[in-house]
Amino acid sequence: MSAYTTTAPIAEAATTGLWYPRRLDELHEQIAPGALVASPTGLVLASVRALPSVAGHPFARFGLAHRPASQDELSASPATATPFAAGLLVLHCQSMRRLLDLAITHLGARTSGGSDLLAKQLVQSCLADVAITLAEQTAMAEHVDAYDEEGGPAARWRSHRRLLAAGRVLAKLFGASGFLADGPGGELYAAEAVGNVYLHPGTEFLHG
Amino acid sequence: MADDGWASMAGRPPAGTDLDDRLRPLDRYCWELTDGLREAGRAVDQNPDAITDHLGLPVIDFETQCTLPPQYRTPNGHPAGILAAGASQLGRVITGERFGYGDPGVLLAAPGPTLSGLAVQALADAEQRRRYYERIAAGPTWTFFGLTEPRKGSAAIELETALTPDADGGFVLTGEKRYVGTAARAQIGVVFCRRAPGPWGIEAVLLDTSSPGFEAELLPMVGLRGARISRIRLAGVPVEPAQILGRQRPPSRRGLYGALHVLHRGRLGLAAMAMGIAQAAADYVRQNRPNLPGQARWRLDEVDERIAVLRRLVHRAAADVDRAVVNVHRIGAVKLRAAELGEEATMLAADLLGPASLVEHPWLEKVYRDARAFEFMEGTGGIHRLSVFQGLIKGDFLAPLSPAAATENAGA
Ligand SMILES: Cc1cc2nc3c(=O)[nH]c(=O)nc-3n(C[C@H](O)[C@H](O)[C@H](O)COP(=O)(O)OP(=O)(O)OC[C@H]3O[C@@H](n4cnc5c(N)ncnc54)[C@H](O)[C@@H]3O)c2cc1C
Repeated sequence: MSAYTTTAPIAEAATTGLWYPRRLDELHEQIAPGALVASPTGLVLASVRALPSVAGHPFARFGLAHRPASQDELSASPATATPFAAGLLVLHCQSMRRLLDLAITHLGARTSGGSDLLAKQLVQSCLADVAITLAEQTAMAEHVDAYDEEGGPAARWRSHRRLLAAGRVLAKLFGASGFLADGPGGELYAAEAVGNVYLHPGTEFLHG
Repeated sequence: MADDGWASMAGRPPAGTDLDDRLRPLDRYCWELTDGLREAGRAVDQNPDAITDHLGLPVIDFETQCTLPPQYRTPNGHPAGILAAGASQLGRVITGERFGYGDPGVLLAAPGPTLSGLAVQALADAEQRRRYYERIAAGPTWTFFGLTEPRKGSAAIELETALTPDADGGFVLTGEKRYVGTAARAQIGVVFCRRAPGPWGIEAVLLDTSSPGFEAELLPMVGLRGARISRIRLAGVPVEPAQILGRQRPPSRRGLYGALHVLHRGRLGLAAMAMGIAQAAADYVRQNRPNLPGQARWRLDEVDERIAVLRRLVHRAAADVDRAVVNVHRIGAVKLRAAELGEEATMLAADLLGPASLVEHPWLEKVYRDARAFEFMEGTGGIHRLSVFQGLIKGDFLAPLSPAAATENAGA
């Protein structure tokens, strides 16, 4: 049984619910071995295992912690920021891909009116939309021009926003179990919060 | 509260409404009562049980008083006319929006009849009502409304919790409920269960949480933590026939009928709270970025516009309920739209406030999570969308075309 199905014991969900923060730490390690990557606004976000969490901060419920970047982390930033940002989008896609599979299992195991929820066309349509977004995002990553130096941050932010919107659709398919902090909704929240810190390109891009 | 967007909402009548002389003072009164709600909201998000430190907030007492039948009210300084106005369905959505603007989590964490009270109103006999309301009026009493199950949420009509006769003329209750607000902290609540197959085999049972076999625990949710969503285990809980709500009524006017009665009314209250969140998010951005350039201002203006339109529809549906006209399709439509708008407005606020806005603006971070709860409560967006379709086909959702326009269309 998947960790995130409604009928799964909560303790089981809690042990696997920190998938995203763990992968975030691995990304830090891959881009800046032995260090953490600073965001453009001078923050660092990693798992609660990598960073002491700010006491009582809501991020800790999603396995995340943050602090201001150190001087060394800020100095390394010009070299690390772009590959880290690209890696975050890949991570977001991986998370969604895996939750999409879990959603299919979850919905296939629930019934209403004599058929499983996977057989409902409204549900199928939502799953298809999420899948299309993931396919587009894969193509986007191959489309090198999209993330060139100048327009890169804005393009990555737009990608993040599309993934975020698709993630909201996906989380809803889990019903209230998609709103558990240690379930799919919690994992996608972590991806949203990390994107807000690392991928937001600044308000000049948004204000037009 | 100067930096959290409150001031810009300062008692101004909400756009999109035509409140009369009875409702304008209610709206104004509710706005004044919301003082202190956001501080309490922060504390409740941190620790949902912290609500017990905030029971003195006038908003909590006002909410309880509005939801009690007049004979059980203790006005506690609230003007009688305002309490009466707040008790109507239209009054409920006006208070819901104002308090949602302040903090919906505090409202949901608070003691009082809430949804279980609506079930009692709809179904209970005189003795059941008396016992229920005397208990609530005696002091802070938390209640719950247990419908959803681990295997049956949207398909609640197929619920499986069993009410089985025992040897002594009573019953035992066996099953599990999931995602039920406040259950792990409540003293009493209503549990929906099955006594026989089919929709009319559903019963509503009034339970004391100290009954043997009742066990509930809190679940960790992404947001709206004040709702204290819980899992309930019912391991052979003894039930006396007198605990079955409206047991003298015909089956078609008992359990399921009561659940639907509650949900149709509750959804309007949820729509109002979600609108309150959306408005609060838009006001917060304006407060913190008074000089937003063109495109950003335009996006914010659009949120305002959509809230104003939705407010009109919510008020209209609520006024219909006060006239005993319950259009489930229209109610579902406004609940689904309000939930979407709450999410969209909080996401827009996070964008417009710039990088790391979710770190720099703790209030926004919280409301950004809270807004997402409204999708699930009392029916998902998908289920309400299907209901709107049914209403459309039945000719019960949109107003009919005028005869002239209908002919024109046919000829085109
Ligand atoms: C904050 C919060 C508070 C709550 N409070 C309470 C409470 O106090 N009491 C209570 O009893 N419950 C409560 N709930 C539970 C809520 O009512 C359910 O979550 C809701 O009814 C959906 O059920 P589910 O979670 O099982 O989702 P499911 O029914 O499993 O739905 C999963 C997905 O499938 C879709 N779907 C389901 N059926 C169909 C269909 N026939 N056709 C097309 N699509 C379909 C849904 O739209 C959804 O996207 C609360 C939930 C939350 C999050």
